[in-house]
Amino acid sequence: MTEQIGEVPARAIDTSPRVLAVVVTHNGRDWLQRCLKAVSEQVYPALDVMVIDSGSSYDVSKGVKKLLPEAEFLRLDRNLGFGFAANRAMEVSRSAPIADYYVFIHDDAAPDPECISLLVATAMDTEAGVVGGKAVAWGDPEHLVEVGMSADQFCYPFGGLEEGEIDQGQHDARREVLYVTNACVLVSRALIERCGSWDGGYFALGEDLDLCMRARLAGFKVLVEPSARFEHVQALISDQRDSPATKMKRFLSRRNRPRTIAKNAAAYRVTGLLFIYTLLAMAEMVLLTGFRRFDELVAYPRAFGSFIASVPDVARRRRAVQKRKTIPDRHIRRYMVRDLHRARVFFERRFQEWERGTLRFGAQTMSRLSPTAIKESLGHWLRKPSSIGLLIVIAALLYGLRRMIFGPPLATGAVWPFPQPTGRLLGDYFAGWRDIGLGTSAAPPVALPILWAVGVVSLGRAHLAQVVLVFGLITLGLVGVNRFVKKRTAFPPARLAAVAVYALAPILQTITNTGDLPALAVYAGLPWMLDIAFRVLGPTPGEGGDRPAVPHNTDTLTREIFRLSLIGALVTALAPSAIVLMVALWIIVMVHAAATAWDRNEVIRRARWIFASVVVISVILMPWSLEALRPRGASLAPLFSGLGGGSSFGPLWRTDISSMFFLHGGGGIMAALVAAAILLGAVTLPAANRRREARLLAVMWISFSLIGVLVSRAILPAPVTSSSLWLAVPFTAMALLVGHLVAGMREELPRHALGARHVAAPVIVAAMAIGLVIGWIPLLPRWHQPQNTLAADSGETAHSLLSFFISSAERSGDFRVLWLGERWVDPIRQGTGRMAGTPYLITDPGGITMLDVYGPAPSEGEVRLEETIEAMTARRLHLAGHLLAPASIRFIAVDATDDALNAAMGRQADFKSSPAQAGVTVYENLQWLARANLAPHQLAVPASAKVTSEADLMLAEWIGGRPLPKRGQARFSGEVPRTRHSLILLGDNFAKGWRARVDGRRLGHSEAFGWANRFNLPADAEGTVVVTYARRWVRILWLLAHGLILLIAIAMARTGPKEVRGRLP
Amino acid sequence: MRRTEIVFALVAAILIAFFGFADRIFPRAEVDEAPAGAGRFLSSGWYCPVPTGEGFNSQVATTNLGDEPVRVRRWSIAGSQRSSYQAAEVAPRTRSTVAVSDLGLPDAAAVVEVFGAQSTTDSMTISDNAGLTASRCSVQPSDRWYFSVASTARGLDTYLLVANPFAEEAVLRIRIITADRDVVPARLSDHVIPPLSQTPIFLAEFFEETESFGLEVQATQGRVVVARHTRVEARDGRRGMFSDVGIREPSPRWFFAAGEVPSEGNEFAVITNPGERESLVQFIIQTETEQLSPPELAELPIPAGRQVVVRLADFLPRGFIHGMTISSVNAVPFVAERLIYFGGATRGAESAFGSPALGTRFVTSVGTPIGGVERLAIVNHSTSQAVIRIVLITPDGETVPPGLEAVQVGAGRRATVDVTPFLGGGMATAVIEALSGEIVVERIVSLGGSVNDFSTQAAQPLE
Repeated sequence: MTEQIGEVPARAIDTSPRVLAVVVTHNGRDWLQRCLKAVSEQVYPALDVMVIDSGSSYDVSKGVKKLLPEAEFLRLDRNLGFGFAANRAMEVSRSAPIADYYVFIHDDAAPDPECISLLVATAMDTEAGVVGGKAVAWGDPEHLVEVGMSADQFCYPFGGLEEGEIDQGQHDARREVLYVTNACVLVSRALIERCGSWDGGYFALGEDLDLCMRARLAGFKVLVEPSARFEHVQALISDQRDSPATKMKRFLSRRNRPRTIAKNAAAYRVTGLLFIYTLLAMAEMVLLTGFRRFDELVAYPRAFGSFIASVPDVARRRRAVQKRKTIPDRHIRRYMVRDLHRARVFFERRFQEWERGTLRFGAQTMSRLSPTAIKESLGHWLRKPSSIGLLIVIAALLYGLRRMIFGPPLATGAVWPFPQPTGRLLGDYFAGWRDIGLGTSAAPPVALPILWAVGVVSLGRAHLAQVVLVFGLITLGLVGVNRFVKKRTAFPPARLAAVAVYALAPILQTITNTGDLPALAVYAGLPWMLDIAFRVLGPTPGEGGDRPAVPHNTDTLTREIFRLSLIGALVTALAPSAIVLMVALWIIVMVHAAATAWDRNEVIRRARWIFASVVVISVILMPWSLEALRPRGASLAPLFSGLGGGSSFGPLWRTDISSMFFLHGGGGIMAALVAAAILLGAVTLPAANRRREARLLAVMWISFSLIGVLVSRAILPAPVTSSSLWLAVPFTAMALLVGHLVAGMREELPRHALGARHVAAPVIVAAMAIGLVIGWIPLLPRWHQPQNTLAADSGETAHSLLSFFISSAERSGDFRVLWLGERWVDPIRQGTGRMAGTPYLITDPGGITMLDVYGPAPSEGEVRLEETIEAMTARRLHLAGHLLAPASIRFIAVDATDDALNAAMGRQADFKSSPAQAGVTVYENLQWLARANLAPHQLAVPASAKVTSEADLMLAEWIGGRPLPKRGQARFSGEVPRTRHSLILLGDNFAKGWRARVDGRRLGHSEAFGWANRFNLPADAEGTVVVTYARRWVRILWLLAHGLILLIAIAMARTGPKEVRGRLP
Repeated sequence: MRRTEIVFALVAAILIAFFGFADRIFPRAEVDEAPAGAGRFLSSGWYCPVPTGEGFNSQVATTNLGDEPVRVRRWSIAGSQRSSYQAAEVAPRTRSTVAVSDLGLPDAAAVVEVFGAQSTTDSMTISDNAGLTASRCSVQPSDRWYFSVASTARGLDTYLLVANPFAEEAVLRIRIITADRDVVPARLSDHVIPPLSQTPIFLAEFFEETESFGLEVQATQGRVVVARHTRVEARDGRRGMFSDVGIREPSPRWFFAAGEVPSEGNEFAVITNPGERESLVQFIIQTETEQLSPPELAELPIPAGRQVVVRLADFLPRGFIHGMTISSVNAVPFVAERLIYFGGATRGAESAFGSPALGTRFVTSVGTPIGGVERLAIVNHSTSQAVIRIVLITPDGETVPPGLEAVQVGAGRRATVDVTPFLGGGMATAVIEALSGEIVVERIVSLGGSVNDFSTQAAQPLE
């Protein structure tokens, strides 16, 4: 280090306190001249000046000599930060020992001529240790920059000013503050002598707060004197300074804040503050990940590492600070911001952005919605022939689905009435314990909030919600196809042809007839996913500006993959097994890429990115995905059900696949020819890029069709729940191929000389048209919903039946209803269809609703219960009621026309039959027990249907049990009379989270029957008993984490890093 | 366009054409599906309405057809009361018999509950004065029961024995189907059956004197087991008694194995059509040597809601022993019973349901507590010779008597096997297994002496 010392100023000595002004500069060429001029113009008489250059990259001394010839000057070889430089100046300045006050000035600050006088006067008046001035904008003194500062408990600074606030004298009162900025600050000699000078360990950012906190702890005042004004550039914060600190701001701030806390906070607070600070830092890291600002993420581990390395130094300094401490922390905290200021600033900024966006959107929308604009755009749209064609397609689709719109509510497959109120969907999502089957604490399906949102949009109207759900998904699919083709051609008939094929395809008829909601979700999401995947893969078809954007770097690739993952997650939420379909799809993409890529290595690399989306989907859908991806879980259950889907999923795979795929009724050779014509045309007529996509689509079409046929013949295991779901891929491929074919004929064919392809083109179009007209159009009148469901019979019947159940539950305790037979359930619904022959569902008295659709894998209790139901329906049991009783099954609803099932029910000696009402026979289990029961004696019911003697069925003694009424979700309570009750039986799946208390005393908890819950009552138990599930908070924590992951995914999918850079506090 | 594109397109086109025929090309493998009813029997309840009267001795026999011991709980119901349980254990492949009167309640129906294995239960009633009848017990309470033979004529006292084994009251609606009308008598439209009871309904009290009619018994509330009991003591010399549990649903085919046109007396096929469409039925007759179809009975119309009685002596010679199949050529289900009155020295009356389906394993009780003659009529409905093994299960265990290991019955023929020598004057359960072919089986038991009656009973198919 070398030092250059200038001449000592020869200034007249007067009675004013001596002040040493220390100007610290580092690469401040743009502002230093004005700064020095301002210092030179100070009116304060007893002022000495020292300029210290902290390793600037140019020669500062000339300017100093020119503007402040009397000033001392010191140059440091390298930049060691403001604190170090200021301390060094005080060490070497000859005026420092005699100075009463020190004024520290940044090179980007220009004090008014009276500034130092006013600061000194205030310090003398108030005996303050630190006095700061009012900072205004550089060159624009009307705008305020800082007028005293505060901070939250974690040392995040708070200025208290609005952005761009104009100085109207509103802050012109002298006052005590937590700290003042060191851009232009007066510090008393007394303070330096007692508390020490600047902490050189900070380098930049935060040393002013540290000094002021130390001053306050030592009993000094910290004031702001607004009349002492200076202009300030804030060069470091606004990235205008050419300094290493500019690029290290996040590192410095995250390292220095815990340093300030560790040094100054009281002993009883320091640990807690540092712990919470660490958590907050981790949350920031998560947010930064979400915004893909990975480069800034590095700052956090570095900052923490640096802080930990400095702990010995910090500890030493802390001892010194605490030794001189004269006032308690709470006196300082009154100057601090109470809330978590950092978070508030973040959300305020987001809100402001949203507000601006909304206003802009509103203005645009209003201009578009003016009558003239509507008339104009409508007229323009209607003049296009393709618009007329689209209207015809929509009309045909609406005609095909007319019964869904105007008929009774759907109750088939996975489309069941929405629960009333709809809010139960969201309530169940957040509930620790869900009343599905025999109850579960399993992670709730992500479909629930999605379905809830549909319910909210539909104003809670059950039928409307169904229509919105089904038509919404169909519309999404059609828009996706339209968008896919539109991005690849400007020729409207190509879009129209693709949309027409997709809208009128027989698969849509099958999906809507069977209520295959999962297949519908795939139908809706697949075109969108394929668009992204194909763009990620590389060059796409299209002319010039029509060609869709191909992600060209890691950043845009990431964004596209997260978009793909979000759509995939939405699809998987509604169609759990679709994740297997995606894996198969992306494997085909990878193989095709490897085999035929334009740039093999690059395409394979990109295909890997696509494959990574499956992992991202699993993460987005956690914690549900953790259970769904188990062998018996919702996603993989079909795969493990045996060849052809076994007895559970087999029925949904026995569709005559080839006839459904080609033409209805097995169109035979003609159907195959039409399909071949489409494929042949699409992979030969267009230009290279389009052919490339067409070829990949063709491979998908062929592969999925072949696998579908093999599964339907029970040669392969079923990869997904239904053939409709699987065939969504070939049908989507077919629609997109048609789009490519038409676009290729229009855009690429004329480039070639007249040849065979010009002749083939009209032939292929004619074949397509014939196929559509004679194969698919005639299906439209036959599109309908099956009528064999409760809701389809009549709304009144369903209402009266469910009202009967609900009122029975209110009268005599909560119970369950067993819905038996194919009328109620089919294997599309998760959690059903496990039993050979007869599917069933167990619900609460409210009946089957959308809540029951996406159930977890069967529990031990349900598996055991299934044995009983199987034996009962197979007519190998005549006392099923005894065995169903512990599961609280009171009513069994059976289709009155199902003779076999009614015969099986009629055989049960412990059932009572009720007259059939509107096609439904209800049997009452005479042995039923309420879900929560006070019981007089020990229990003797077999754990499963292993009846070897009448002694196995000693439930009769239980009939005298006393039900505990249900008081809410997973909560039962009632009075324990002074009787012989010895235990409480809870007919829900055993879970450790269940608790029972009698007047505050917790009861012992154990398993009953190998699956249910049992609580032992002490002999002297008396009072109110409460049975609850106590682990709701675990679920909420999980879901909060899930929400955070989802937010990150959304952020990564929608924002580029430049758009948000610098906005995150 | 490169050559590879064309090759690709051609391959794709060939594959698609290939898929067009995939339905025919790929074999249809059966999916892994558990057959319904394949699991272990857990429990079953057998409900046995039995005729009551002075001098009537009824007993209920339960046979354990499984390989493990079963627990049996027996009780009786009468007058809204249930007797105390009688528990017993029955070893594998043995049978256990109990007199209904020993169950504790007079004029009661018997209920037998069996836990742990497949079983069968049937009943037999013997009265010195009235005769003999063997009857099935029902494992299936139902809300509908059908009978084709009933009468309110003098000397043909027909009772419905309605057993309601449940704690809920039942309400019956009884429809009477005659040759020319179809009526629900006012007092039989809402007939209340108390819980836990066996209620006899003497039809003559509710319906005018009619020689023959069919019955449809519907429980509009509750479930019941209904048997018909007829005591025959006609002026023309017919006497005896018969009873059986009804059938739960009409069938388009009925197989009878043990028919005989008596030298003195008559044999009738009584057909009732409770449905709403006319049924056209045809008769096929099997004997030990031939199979024939009387042309007059090729398409016999049975109008909807009517009963038709066919006197077989009008088409077959007297003394003709035969099996019989009655089937609907237009697949309209009906109810058929075979009614036989023996005259002369060997008197007796019997009406029996056939089997609605063929099978390979049948079970039936054989023998009486007081001797008599026991035969099994077997009709082979296959197109080739059937080989049949007969296993007898007694209280001491099971045996395959010599000569009964491989009884051969020609295609479309009837065979009669006399098992009396193997019973030793006691009772047993016969399991008739067709090692090849499909058969139907019917037992024929006759007692002389003071009882002087006979009874037939279709053997029960084993699931």
